[in-house]
Amino acid sequence: MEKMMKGSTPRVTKLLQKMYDRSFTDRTNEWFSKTDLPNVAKRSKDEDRSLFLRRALALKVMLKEMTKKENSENTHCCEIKEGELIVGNIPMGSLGFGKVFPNYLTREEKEVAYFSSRDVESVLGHNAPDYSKLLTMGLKGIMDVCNRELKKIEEKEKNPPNKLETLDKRRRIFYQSVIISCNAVIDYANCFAVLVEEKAEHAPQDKKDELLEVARICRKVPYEPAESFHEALQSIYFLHLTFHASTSHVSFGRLDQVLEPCLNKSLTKGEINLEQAQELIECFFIKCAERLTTTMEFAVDQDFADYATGMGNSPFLVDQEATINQFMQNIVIGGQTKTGNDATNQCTYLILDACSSLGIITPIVNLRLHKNSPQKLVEKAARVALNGNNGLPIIYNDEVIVPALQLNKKLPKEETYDYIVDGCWEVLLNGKCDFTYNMVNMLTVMECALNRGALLSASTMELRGKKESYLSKKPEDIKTYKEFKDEFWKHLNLFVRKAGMQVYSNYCLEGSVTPVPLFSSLLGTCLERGIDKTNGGAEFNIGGVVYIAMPNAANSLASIKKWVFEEKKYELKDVANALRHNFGVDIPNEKKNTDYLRWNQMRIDFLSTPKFGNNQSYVDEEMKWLIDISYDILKDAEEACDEIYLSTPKDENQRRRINRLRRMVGYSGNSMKETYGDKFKILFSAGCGTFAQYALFGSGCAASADGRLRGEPVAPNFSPTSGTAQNGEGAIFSSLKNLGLNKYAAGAIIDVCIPKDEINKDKIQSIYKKFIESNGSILSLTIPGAENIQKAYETCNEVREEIKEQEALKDFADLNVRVGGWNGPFITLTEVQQRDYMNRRITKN
Amino acid sequence: MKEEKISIRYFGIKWNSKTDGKGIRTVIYLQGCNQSCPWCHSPHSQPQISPILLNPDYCSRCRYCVNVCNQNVHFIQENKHYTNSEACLSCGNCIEHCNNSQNQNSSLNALYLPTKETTPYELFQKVQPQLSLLKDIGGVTISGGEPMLQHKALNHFLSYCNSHQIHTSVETSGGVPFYYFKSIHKLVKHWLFGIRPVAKEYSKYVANINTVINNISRLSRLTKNITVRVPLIKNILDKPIQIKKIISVMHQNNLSHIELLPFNPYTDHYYKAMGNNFSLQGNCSPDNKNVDTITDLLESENIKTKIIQIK
Repeated sequence: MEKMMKGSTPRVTKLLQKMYDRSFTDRTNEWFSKTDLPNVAKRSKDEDRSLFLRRALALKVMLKEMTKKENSENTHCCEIKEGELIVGNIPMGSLGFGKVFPNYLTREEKEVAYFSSRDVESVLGHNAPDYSKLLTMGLKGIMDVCNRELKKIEEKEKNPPNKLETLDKRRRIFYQSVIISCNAVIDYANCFAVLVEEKAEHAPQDKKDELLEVARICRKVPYEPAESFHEALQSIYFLHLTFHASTSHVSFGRLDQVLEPCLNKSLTKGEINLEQAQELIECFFIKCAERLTTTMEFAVDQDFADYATGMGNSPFLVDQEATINQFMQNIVIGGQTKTGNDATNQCTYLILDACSSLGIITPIVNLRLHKNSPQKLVEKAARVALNGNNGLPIIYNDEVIVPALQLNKKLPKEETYDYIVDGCWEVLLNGKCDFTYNMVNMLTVMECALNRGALLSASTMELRGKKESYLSKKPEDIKTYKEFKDEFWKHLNLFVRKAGMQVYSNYCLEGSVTPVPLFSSLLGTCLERGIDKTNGGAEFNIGGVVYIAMPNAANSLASIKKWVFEEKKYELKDVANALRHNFGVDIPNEKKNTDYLRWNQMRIDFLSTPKFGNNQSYVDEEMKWLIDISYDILKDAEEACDEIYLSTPKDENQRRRINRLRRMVGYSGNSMKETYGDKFKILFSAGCGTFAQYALFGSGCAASADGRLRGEPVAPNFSPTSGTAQNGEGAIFSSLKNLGLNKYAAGAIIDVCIPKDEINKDKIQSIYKKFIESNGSILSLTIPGAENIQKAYETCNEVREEIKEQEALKDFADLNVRVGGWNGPFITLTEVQQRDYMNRRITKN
Repeated sequence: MKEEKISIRYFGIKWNSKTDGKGIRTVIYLQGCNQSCPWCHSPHSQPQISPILLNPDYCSRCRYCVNVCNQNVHFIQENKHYTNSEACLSCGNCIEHCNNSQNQNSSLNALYLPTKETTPYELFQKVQPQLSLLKDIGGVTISGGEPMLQHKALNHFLSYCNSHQIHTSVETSGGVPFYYFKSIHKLVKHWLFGIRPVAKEYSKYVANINTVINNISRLSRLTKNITVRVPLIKNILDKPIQIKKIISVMHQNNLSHIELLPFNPYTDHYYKAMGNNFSLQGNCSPDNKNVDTITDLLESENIKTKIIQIK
């Protein structure tokens, strides 16, 4: 197998090798044990403290534990590796494996929180702090704001008769929590300064200077503003590790924009040259990637995901095999400035080079392109995509995403040009907004439309299937295709409204258990207002509603349109029956009857119907319809939610009406604006994707009219269903052209896989350009060696069947593919995902 | 003749090829051939319409095909599926009834009829999105079968490509009347031209070598964008004397580029799928040493040589 030397310098190569070696071992002991961590809410006096203070103290305790040398023997959290230029360590934890954090909930709180699947670890993450604020102010500057505001509050308190308002009491606690957290990070940095100095004492002279410089930096940042490039990276890393250690898995935002001023300063002063800058950023990348796990052998032992530690809103969806390497650390580069000019800078190229030089899957590099992106950048990106072997960068089309954000008139134009992405790929505003989301499975909606609001399960216990929606028209009473679509619309409407309300209730719950004062201090106006982001502190709140299995739904619509309403070969009732019985494929041979023959023929017809992604308007127009209605319905749902959660009644009659509605959705307070401020509102944005869960979502769905059998995976993200794109990549992009993806402000990501022997740098450039021209939204392009993937798959099967030892997989540890919301090592995927991935290739027609 | 009355038959499209012309190319394989080379990689391309192809890995032996076929093409013995492709009328009835042959990706189907018939315009519509992707970095290559047999349809298809500024290549074995070439040469940017001076006992399978040489000579007076293509088959087409003959043809016509295609060891795939035996015995791949000798010989004659190993 071809192995390339990775890393731009021998130092980096060594660090990378060490990282990969460890990634293939049993890392179970590296985890902190929750029972060994101090409990911050143990004593009764702790219980009197506010939740915010306890959360801040828990963070302090966690960082303290991470600097204890006795813990480090197992956790490796308090150590410096030979040759490191960026120091500090993130403790084990990932979306799939779970997270560990000291308890700060009282026994009573914990029991109640569990009802809404919340715990101290259930922070949603999915966001990115404003790191330019950190670099310009330093934690010192942040604490200065806190102290100034605390003083004002104190003065107000001293001056009777002004009794302190509730808001000020809450602000006081917020500022106190921020100060505790900042000091904890500064203490952590100083511990590492000492550690490096100790090491320097025994180091030979040439190493000594380097170590002393690292120590100097640790004493300076993150307390003070960063001046040099090295200081900037170290400062950001200290905060990043703090967030990830305190269960906030958050991204980096537009790192090239954040770092450029410091890089410029360092280059101008002659402190470093570009090669040194390159080495530094590669060291930084490796520090972020050190939790990587490339073997499944010890995965179960490392499953630390508790019931309620996922992400609060859907704990059961995340602790899966494929998500063990999802750390939600995205870097966004390129794109446009707030005024709409090209934003590419020197740092953009530096980050791209690091991405291909290292070839690691995390942090994920996301490149924003637009029609005026420099040719040099597009060319560089293509080179990186070809050489990195990690499926990066992910491409974002500014020409579609910016207009989608601008559809929302509440967003200032300059902010829409400044977008970033969260932990997976959903689009957010840079350092200014909070985020929460929910998902709607289009195939569930389709089942309801065919089965009067119930799922198409063939269970013998239920009369018709599990009821999920309205009792609607019987299939035999649906006479035209338009009537069928109307039914679909009604059910989708219900699901989307439900999802919208869920977004609000998720938001309300978030702050009740997991406020994040430190993160808030680096997000929008939270610091200035003294309000946590979970309590309405950020200027904007985005609620994403992500649609699942849209390609399957569009293909199903095309089948029904053609065979039921145009050809009239089957009745709709017949279709529902066939899907309920999985097209009869489970019927044993001796029992195969006329029903079976008809269903079998039906599946054959359905499979031969045009499929999304082949430039065939017959089905692409169904996709356009889905995008149109899912957007319109979401806008309606947003208005409905605004009225329920935000409106201020003008008179008594209105008050009574609104209160009635509020109680009906389980919310009994006043307008949330009273709690969270006048500007509070959740802006809904639509997206389409499945993340890694295309197999999981599919496993719960009945057979579908696109010919998919019961339990088979649904389409990954917004990509054509695996194996159905048959007319070349060009046809996939042509299919996108008129869909109107510029309505989907959360983005719609297409994952394309092209074998290495069918592609070169020029073609990748051509693909990027064509994708931008075709009004695509987000694109991931993985370029595996076809033979290598096949070999890896066969070896995985041999290991699964215990014919071969795990060790046999080691050769494939750096074979990276697209998983869903991120990229991951192929060998850590489940068999069904591996097959689905291999089947995505566009083969000979 | 009016375009809509002309049809074009093809049996496959490879969307991205790095080995069939300049840059990355979409290759369209046209159905039908007037040769029957025993080393042919696509024996199903030779008749006007391909017989049924079988991939037994995906067959569940449900016997539906056996029951619906009037020609008795399918039979199952000892739980194994066989076909008698000579009897096949390519009616497709078996496929329509086969549960395991409905995949859009035909390589995953048990039964498969590869030949498709459409109009040049529809075919162009189908490949146009991909061609627009490859526009500045490659183009389209028409291969076969012997594509020149469909020169009238090709004329239309290539005109569409030209009007969209798509680079066009045609791969031919050269054994057709010259006026076929004349009718389309203005639409073809680059030719891949096969010359096969094979050992005598094999000459009945390939086009008359004199016709081929005559055609390439006349064509090279119209264009110099011709690359000669030669398959290297052990003991059939790998002797210095054969190569020297090719060299002399090239020199006479001022042609300077050649591509050598060593025999592909996986050639038996489609023979199996047709239910036939691959007639060439033993390993037909030329020795590496011999390939080097041939390459040296060509290079010493100032001919730019490229070896194309097809997987």
